[in-house]
Amino acid sequence: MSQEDRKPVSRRRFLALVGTSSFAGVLAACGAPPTATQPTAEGNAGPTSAPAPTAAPTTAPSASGEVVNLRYVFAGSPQPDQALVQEALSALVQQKGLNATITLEPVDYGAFNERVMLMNTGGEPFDLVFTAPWINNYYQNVNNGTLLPLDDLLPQYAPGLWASMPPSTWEAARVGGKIYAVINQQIFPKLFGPLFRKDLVEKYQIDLEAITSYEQLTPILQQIKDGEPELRYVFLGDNGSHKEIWGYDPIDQALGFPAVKFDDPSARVVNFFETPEAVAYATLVRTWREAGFTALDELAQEEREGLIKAGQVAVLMAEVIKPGAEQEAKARYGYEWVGRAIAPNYLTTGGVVATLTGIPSSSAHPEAAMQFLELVNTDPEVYNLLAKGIEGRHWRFVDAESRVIELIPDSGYAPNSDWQFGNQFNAYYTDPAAVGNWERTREINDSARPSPILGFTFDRTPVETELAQTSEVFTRAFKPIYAGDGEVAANLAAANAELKAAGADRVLAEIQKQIDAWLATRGG
Amino acid sequence: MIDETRPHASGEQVAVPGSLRVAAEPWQRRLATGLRARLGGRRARTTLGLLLLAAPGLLYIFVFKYVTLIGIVVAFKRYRTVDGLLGSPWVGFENFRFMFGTGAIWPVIRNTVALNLLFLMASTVVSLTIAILIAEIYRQRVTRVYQTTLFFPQFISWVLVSYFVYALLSTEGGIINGLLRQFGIEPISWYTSPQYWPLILLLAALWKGAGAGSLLYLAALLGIDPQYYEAARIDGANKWQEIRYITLPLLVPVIVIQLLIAIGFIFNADFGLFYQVPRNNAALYPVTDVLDTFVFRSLTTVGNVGMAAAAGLLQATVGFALVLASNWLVRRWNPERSLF
Repeated sequence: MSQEDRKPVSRRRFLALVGTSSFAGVLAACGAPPTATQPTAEGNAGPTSAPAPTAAPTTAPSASGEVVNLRYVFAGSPQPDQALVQEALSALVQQKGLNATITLEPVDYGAFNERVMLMNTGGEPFDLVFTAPWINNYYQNVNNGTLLPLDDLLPQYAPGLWASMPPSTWEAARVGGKIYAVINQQIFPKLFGPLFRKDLVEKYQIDLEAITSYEQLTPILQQIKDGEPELRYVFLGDNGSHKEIWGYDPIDQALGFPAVKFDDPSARVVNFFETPEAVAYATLVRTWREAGFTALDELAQEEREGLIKAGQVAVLMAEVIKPGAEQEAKARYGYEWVGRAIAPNYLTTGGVVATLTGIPSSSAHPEAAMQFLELVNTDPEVYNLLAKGIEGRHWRFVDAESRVIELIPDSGYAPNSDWQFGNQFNAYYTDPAAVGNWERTREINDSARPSPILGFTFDRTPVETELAQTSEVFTRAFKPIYAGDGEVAANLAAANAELKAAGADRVLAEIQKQIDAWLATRGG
Repeated sequence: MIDETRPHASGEQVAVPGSLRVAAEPWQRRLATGLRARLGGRRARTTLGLLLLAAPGLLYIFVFKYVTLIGIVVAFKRYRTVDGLLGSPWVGFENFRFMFGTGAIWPVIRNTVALNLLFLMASTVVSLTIAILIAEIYRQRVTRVYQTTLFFPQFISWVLVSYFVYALLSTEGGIINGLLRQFGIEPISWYTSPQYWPLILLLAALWKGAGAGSLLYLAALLGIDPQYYEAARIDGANKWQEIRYITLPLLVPVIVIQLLIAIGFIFNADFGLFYQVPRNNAALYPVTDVLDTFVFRSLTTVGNVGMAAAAGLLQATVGFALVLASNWLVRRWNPERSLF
């Protein structure tokens, strides 16, 4: 792999910078309470052991004049007060010993994939980027060599971040044995389930605890539909993409059809859409559709949001029901919500790598970028400045002891995507009711059972042609079935036949081959 | 009555400013004129002048169309950003395989070609009609209002157009279904009924593009010598005859050139139109899926630049072959009318 051979120039240039910066104070801040960490004056000689030619002046403290700028590209709408936060963030990280300024570059979700892809293919240098299997595809990036392998940088420049998760968790971020992005720690298991409007749950006395399957929802949905004729949609579908609900590990969510059953230790790869669960699911969606629970036209994301905010939606069908999900939904849509997890508590590769931050291979300052990641992930002050804005301007402490803050309405900075920036367990609570959620989340993470293929990542390279073909079939033939259009059995059979013709069997065989090899290395 | 074969009439008329459709057109026409001038035995100095006139256009074409041709190699490579254009390994025709592996592409090619041909014919007729009607209006002020109004949709993005269309066709709150209900007709679920979509897409394409398309014809029209019309009127010709025997014959060269250029793009579909307006609705794919949307859907999972380049190269190659073929046909019919 040639991309790990960094240009010596950048390393040498970096050494001049880092050698002078004292970031030991940062390390001490790991896991500390949100009280301000004093930057310590002690210098750190850590990076001098780097194998690059050390002709550059690694000791001269006067080089501090050279401040590197880190371009941080992530998904979200630009905030009015972004420049202010950027300035405050730069000042704070410099105070913490990282000689860098940060440029925040949010890109709208809808344009994020294309923008990042263009920046990559254009060779535009940037330093930090949000990546995941579901947006700005992580594996695609790794395949294309657009992300830097971090195995050396991570323990060296971000020891706190490195130590904050067990090696078994880091395994999930590995592709071909190497880590290409750091994990933004948050809820890992994908505990999908329905999220109900709380007023309706109370009105119809729905016993959420009793719900253990989606089939049980049908009479409840009927009840809501009958009682609330002004509600236009009591159900918004998920197009059959959440296999975890039905007890399957999707291996790589973007592939669409391959899956491994959670309780199958032999890890046999199957086409999800040929399993009895998938048939039952399609049939269920069809009955809901026929009962009129769902929108007649397929709705775009912003239209859905508009309807939810307008109070025309009673149930969000497949949300991750994690501690804090209710508060998040309330912040996003208004209304009180209450959820019930249905998916079993399993740890999958996809769940662990759901939110990642990578360092693009075009970055001229990978070491500084990694130090920034250390700060964001271990220092609550830095993290919350990035995620919540400036104290007193965008939020104020309600209860500093238990880390509860209050967001100032219309303050000009509210990205509302903590999970995108780093270790979410460092986030201040925005709701007193949420206090303790991070501890509860950590408990869920710790108590989750491992999927038989936790840590396995699929290398798509050998079957890219087949994947292009199956992807075409998947988006065309299966979407309508899981939107409830048409007769289930016949359509599903036809779609599966098309999938086969597109090379699905070759894809499944290749995944099986890679899984078997991976299991063998683990077992031996 | 009219000297239809006057060798330089076409080129000179068309050089009227106002072509806003394809940046390459003015240059191509200018060059065509220049070449014809040379072949026609004109003096070399005229040729030089024309070529100088064409220089900025030539430079543009050279930089953006010829230099970028090196990118074709990507179609035959397993391209990775870090390895670069030349460093990436060759893979032969491997990148083309995904398009033809399943046979799913044939209906898509059919859609692409059939819908593009339909759009091409309809937009030519409608644009011509608009141009002729506007040219017939004498009051300049009114003309400008009409022109601007018709031209304006060109600047509206397909995303917005898709919402206009959705406001009309939405199953529950749509205006058209509202009207149907009022007349006691059963509402139609437009977004799950593919049979209506060729027409809907055609109307959307015409609404957006026909006004802008008419500009070129209008420019050519205004370049026609008024003496022809005066002479015709003296001979007792009515409006229809003026159009039939003067306007249209004099516009034929422009129409032919326009068609030839458009045919080169017959394999390229307007992604915005075909992706946004049907709202990427899988139920409508049987008629709305075109090469560009097909490739887009195939490659969103794998994101292979080489495969995308392969699809683009295929489109360009077929377009090139079609331009050569149709030019050959035109030349057989009338050598004066052909592009080259």
